[in-house]
Amino acid sequence: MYFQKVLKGIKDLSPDAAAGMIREDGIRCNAWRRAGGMSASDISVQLTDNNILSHLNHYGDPLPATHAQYSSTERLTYGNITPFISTTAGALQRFSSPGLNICFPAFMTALQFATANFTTRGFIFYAYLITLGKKAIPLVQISEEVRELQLYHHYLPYHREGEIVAKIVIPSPQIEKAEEYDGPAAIRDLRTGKVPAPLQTIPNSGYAAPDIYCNIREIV
Amino acid sequence: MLGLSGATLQRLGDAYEGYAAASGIALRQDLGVKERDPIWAEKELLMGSCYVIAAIYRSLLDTGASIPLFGIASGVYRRRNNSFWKPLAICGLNREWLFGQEAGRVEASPQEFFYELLRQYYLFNSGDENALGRMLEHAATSPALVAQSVGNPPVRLQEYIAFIRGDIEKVYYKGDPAEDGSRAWVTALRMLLQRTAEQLQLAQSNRFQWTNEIGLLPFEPDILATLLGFCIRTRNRNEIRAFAEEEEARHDSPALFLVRLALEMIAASR
Repeated sequence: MYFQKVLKGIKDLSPDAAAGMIREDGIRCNAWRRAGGMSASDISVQLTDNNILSHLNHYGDPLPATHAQYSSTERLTYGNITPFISTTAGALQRFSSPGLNICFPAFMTALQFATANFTTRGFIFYAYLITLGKKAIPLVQISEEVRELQLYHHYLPYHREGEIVAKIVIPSPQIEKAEEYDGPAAIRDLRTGKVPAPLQTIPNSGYAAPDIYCNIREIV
Repeated sequence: MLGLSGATLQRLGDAYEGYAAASGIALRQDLGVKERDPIWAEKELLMGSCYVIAAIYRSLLDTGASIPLFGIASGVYRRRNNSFWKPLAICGLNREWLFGQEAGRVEASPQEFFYELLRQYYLFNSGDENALGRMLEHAATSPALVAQSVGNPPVRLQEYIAFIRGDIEKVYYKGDPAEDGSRAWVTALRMLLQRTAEQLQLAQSNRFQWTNEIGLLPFEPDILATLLGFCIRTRNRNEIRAFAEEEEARHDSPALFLVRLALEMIAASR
């Protein structure tokens, strides 16, 4: 089992909303936010192979009329109803993988999502997820390492982002902080060879650092 | 180009080049202290990766501006002994580095063999011509080796070999139009472009990522380096232009822009 640190970029989020997510609500999936909650049985039904593949490869595609959640009055996409939450963990230890020579840094991917490619404001959340090193789709508390092509045999054209997929909600205690970025200011910094500075950082006083959960027994 | 926004490509090119520079500055502070740490090495390659990404985005807008970025990236991978530096040096049109490398033993690894093959192909007619000949000879007697997939998108080594052999051997069929051999490279190149197009179309099929232009890589340096190996020889340029026109008239492969890109890069370097 691994405590995998991840980043999640969300654009156009107010500081109050970001603080609420860090300190109380956590980061919820679109299915939860749309329905206003999810029952235990809803969760079991939603966590399937098909749904994770739709999340990864058809996020922006409209639901077909045959889909159980299709609506004739609203154009819904797979992304609108997904029970999964995309995060990025970047690419360390990836260059030893055969044929993988180019990787995207987690920070840049998150910054692109947070600022809609440097055009708006948004937040990058710093969190951790629990992974197993194997597929465990029905287990809500375990996140999926979809970046691992050995685990996910379906070819994912965007696997270089180092994506880790969380389920239903990333709980507040697993979120360390959020940093707000201004897209146009960030690109100005980058053009001068500087890592962009956040406008503000919102820490989480209730953060449960993963270090304390490691089992180390000292010699006696 | 490719349905991507020029303004966004410009920002992304700037952003990844800037981030690479910022990472380099941060790494320099640790130089000598942590250089042997594997994490440090990965971070350096990640910096190189950012230069490659910047070069790819730039190449779609300003071909000439991409060449030095490929060159910088090549230097980073070369420093870390990662053989990906070879196709990057070709994309950076960096003959000095490509020449100044002893031919190593690469037969044991299909990927290493492929990158060395690209290097020797690029240098053919201007370096050790026997080196390419020896590699092709070895490939001809190693069915297990050439059946392996190499590069990105993964393509069997024998497809690349068919293209390279078709190019360098077409001279033997000159003046004899009845001989299919003079056009063998065309069939092989169509196949390589087809594989590249499939990868591109797969990426485009994820509409969310493609339209948001996040994490996208419209092509890989491997195929560009292969095309540059063909286009670098003056005698081939009219042929490849004619090929591009023919293909456009046939069905206009989505990967055909790479042929034009290779020709533009050579023109921009003069």
